[in-house]
Amino acid sequence: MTQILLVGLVVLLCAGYWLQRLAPSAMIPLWRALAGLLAATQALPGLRTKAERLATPSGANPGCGGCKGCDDKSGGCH
Amino acid sequence: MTDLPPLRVALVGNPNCGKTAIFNQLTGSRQKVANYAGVTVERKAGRLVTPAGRRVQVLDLPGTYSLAATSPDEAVTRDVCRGVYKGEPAPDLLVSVVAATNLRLHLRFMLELRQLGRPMIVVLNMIDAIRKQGLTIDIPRLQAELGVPVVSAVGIKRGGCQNILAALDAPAPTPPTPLPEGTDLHAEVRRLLALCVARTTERTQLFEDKLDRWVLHPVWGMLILFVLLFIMFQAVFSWAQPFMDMLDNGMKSLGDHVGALLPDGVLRSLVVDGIIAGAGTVIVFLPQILILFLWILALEESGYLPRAAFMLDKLMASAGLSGRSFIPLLSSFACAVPGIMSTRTIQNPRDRMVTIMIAPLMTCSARLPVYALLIGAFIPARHIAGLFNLQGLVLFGLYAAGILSALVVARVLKRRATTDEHPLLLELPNYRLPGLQSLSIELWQRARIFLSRVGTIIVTLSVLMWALSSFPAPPAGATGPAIDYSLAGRIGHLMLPFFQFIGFNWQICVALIPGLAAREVAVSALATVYSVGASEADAASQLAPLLSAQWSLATAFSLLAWYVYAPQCFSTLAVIRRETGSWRLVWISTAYLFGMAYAASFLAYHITRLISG
Amino acid sequence: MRLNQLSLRAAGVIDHIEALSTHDAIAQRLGELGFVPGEPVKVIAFGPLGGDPMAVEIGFTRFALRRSEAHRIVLRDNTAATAPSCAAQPHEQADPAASSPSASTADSSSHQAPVAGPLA
Repeated sequence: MTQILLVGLVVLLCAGYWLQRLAPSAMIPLWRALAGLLAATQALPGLRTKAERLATPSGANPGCGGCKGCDDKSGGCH
Repeated sequence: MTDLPPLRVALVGNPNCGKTAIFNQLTGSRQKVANYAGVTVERKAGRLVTPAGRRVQVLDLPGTYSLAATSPDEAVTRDVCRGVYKGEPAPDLLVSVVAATNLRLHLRFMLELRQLGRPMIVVLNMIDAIRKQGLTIDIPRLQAELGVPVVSAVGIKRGGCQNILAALDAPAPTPPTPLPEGTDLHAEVRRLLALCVARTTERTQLFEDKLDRWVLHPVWGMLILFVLLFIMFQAVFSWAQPFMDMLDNGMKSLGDHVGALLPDGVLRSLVVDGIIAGAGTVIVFLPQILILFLWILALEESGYLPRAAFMLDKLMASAGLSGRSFIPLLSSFACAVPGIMSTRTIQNPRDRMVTIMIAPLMTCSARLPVYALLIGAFIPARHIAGLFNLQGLVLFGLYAAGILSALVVARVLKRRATTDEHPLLLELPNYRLPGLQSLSIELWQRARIFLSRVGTIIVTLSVLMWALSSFPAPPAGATGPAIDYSLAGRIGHLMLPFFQFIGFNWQICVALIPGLAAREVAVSALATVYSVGASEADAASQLAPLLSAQWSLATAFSLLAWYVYAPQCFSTLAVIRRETGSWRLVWISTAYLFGMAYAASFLAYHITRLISG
Repeated sequence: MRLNQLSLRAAGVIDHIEALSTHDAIAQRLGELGFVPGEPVKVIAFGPLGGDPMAVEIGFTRFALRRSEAHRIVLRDNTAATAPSCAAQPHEQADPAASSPSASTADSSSHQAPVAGPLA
């Protein structure tokens, strides 16, 4: 039983990684839910900030904070 | 000293001034390579602590000839130096690196930087080489004339940057007073040279002259190029083999050990067949990639590569490209990922796009296991004319097909832009012996990037493929291979009607799916489908007789042709997306490669059937 | 006489750069790279196919240029009156006569006297 849970978790994490890469907007509700849950339970503040950031439309783009025109139409932020 | 905020320093200079070696020496492995915000220009940053304990952040800016930028990376250098690059604070100190062996060219840009009126110091790099050229430089005089600190350095030797560190510890220099606007910088350079540089013996370019007579010779030069390329490929493919076998055995025994530790069941299968096998396919290719990188980096450091670009420029021009595309395309023979990343040096955006589009056609090392398997199974080990190995010839033919197709595709892609002017303007730097320390740091950096980028993609995909291939599990008493019942098997059967025209059976279709993640995984996927041992070393030897018995020659050739063009692995797609910032190009490249693969397979299959009856 | 018309191992002195248009980036870059009036320049090699591109040496830096880029570089037609023996390669002979570079033959490489001998 634990095996199946563990395997399921790993597979879900990998699938989540790909969903985040390919369709970050689809993952937004998930991150929002996670952020809400962590806020309610006051646990893991670091993870909560990350989840909140990823819950916004442009938050998934890595570390560029200081530029304009970072969305997909302008070619993304790199 | 340590509670002062870190000093922000930017290394700036002409291409080939040896800046990177200095950067590597100063920062060692404490480097981070990323991208500048908004552009696909590499941002190299590192940290160091001076002897006096001051923390320093060093930025290695892209080499440029002038602040009048002509390409995106030169624009980044210009803007960062002026302190106007968005998201990048202005550097506290500019370190202008100048090659003492080429002052006539490099001092002009240094003067241009000086005109910015920001605090700066000048580093005379390669100072050891000027003695051989019979030059002496009056450094205090130069310092007095320029009004900025001038220090000497030898970037590639250990301890050659002591003077730079001392200068960083010294109090911040006062910003220089710029020369009047419109001063002829070239005239100023001549004036400085006349004052500060003396010649003790006659300067000769004898070494470069002698070497270039051969290297740039129309006949001998091409020969030298081919020999170097041949040695490189030999190195990559045969010399890497023992290491690859070692790693392969290592991963296999790791799988066995971990497998023995875990209880029988689905978790063990995930870890051994999914994660370890997946990571194994990447790790096994590391020796090849490292050797190729080492070779290319050494050629680059030695000053030879621009000469190779010179020799091949006309040939590349026939495909609408310039000699600058040579290096990225060469790197793509190991793996298209670093090859595509190195297209950053191509300034013309259209050239760059075309090079990125054709890079996947360079037979990357991941295709080799598939080629090796199929050639081993279907091509007899005969010799032609007593000299040429038939199997080797077929392999060479596959490579040639890839290269020729690439040239044709490039031609097609560029047919509309024939009026563009293609500047070459390539500097042929002085020859020098690559520094081992700098080389190993660069190698380590590239290896790290490759491993982390490709590693996460392949491992996660392997897990997903494993899941697709293992579930739903076959019902008790099932007769066919387990994979037939899984989701992957169902998908394979679904794909069959489309692929049977090119001679693929459902097993091949299933194996193609994980092959999207990483082409080499196709071999182990085939092994799984045919219920043979899971690791690559086993697979090839056991699969070969099975396949030669079950498949027709036409199917084998069809698969070979497919792989020459095979729509590339996810890692390549990901890096194309990252480098071009465009999903459109990713779709276009997938579509055209898929189309070419299908067409080639179709032709190969039916022609072989016709011939073999 | 333009740079793209020189033969192998022939040398010349730059007169000026001719821009092909008002915003000729290549002409500007050539200037920044040191192709300025008075600099001696020498042809060291031609590409294997059709002689394009060409490799030239200016001062002590070597560059590979397309013929179309070299076309922009106009050379002086005659040498300066007297040619002091400058810091030349010892295996070349300084030719003070006003022979144009295109007449240089393969065996004796004629060398045009530069206005200011490059020191570095």
